Amino acid sequence: MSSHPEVRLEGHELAALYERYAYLVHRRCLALLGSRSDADDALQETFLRVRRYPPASLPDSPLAWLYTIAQNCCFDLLKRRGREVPSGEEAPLPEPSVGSGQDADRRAVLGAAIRKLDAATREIGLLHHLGGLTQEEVAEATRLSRKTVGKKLHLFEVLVGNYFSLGER
Amino acid sequence: MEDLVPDRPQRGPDCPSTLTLEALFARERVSPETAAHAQGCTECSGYLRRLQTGQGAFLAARPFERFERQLDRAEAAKGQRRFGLWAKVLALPAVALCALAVVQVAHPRGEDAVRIKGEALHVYFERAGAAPEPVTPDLLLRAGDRLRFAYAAPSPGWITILDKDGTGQVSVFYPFHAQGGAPIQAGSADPLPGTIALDDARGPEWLVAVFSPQPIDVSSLKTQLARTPAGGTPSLRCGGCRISALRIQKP
Repeated sequence: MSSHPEVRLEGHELAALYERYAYLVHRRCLALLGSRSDADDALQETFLRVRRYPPASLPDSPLAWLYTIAQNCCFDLLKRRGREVPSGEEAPLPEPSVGSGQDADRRAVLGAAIRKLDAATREIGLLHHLGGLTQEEVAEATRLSRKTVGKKLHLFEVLVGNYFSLGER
Repeated sequence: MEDLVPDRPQRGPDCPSTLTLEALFARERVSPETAAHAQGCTECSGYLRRLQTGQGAFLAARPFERFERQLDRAEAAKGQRRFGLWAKVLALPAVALCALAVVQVAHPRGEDAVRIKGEALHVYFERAGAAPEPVTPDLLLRAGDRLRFAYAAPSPGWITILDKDGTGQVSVFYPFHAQGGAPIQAGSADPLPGTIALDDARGPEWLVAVFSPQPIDVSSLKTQLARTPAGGTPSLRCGGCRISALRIQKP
């Protein structure tokens, strides 16, 4: 069969995924978005995508797979809610608010920073700073050289370091 | 800044990554050494306990049944927006839509013909999170893109939609499980139910719509379509049928 009709993840399968992973996914969204309501939205979108576009079989590590989907949902949300940088303009990143009380500003700045990063750099940054992997482990996970990981990580930290309290490490 | 996420553990030289601890917490497979370490390590076991506490509170506040209802509402709202988009697209004049080119009409003499004027099969594709867009001839699509079909027939009849992919395999795209095609009513431009996800077979792919006044011998059509020379325009014989074909490309 060359293609398949719409197959959705329903009922007990979705419930099982939710019970095991929803809390962890929500935490990841919270770390990225800094807002409970946004994290709720991203969690909902994640499970909507999982339900609507289930894989033929669950991957070996559903958590890593769900994190990838959730991160993409978060980035999409940041793009929708952040201030757009006009194409062709290299607008400088505005300084983040001290104390980060203004979530909208924070999301806008993070969104602008995220948009400047390619997918590989984002993945490397999140594996290291949210997943806690060493640079060697990131290199193994991404099959990139240790040198490339180091360079991309530096770029990631320059652009988004303030938003993940990297100064505390 | 308010700490919205429980503290991650301080990672010692023998400690696994936070990601690995979280996988362990989710009852995924980890090495026995990792599991043993996590039990005996103050930082790692403390982190797992914090996750346990947090998850308990989370699930108590957000039970799955309620979450599922929220998903249903969100999906219904998206469906209305998406259907609204479909409706807007379908409302465009047929000439403005790159619909199918009629490549063959079979009207054998003496047989009832489907007297259809102005019917058109419209094909749309959608990707996750994006609005549906019309499929134009030789449009580049990819595995995972979902196709949806719509039609407007001024006369009642039967319809089936076949697919011949780049490997030569023939499938029935619509109706998926029924033999004989699906009945169609006159005057409706609603999307046909269901979508089809394209697989990763590369090359030119033909979507072939067959209208008939009677139930369709789908098996015969599949056999004919499979015998069409590779790269050639589909050629089908079907008494009283009207056939439309659209080619897409999957590089």
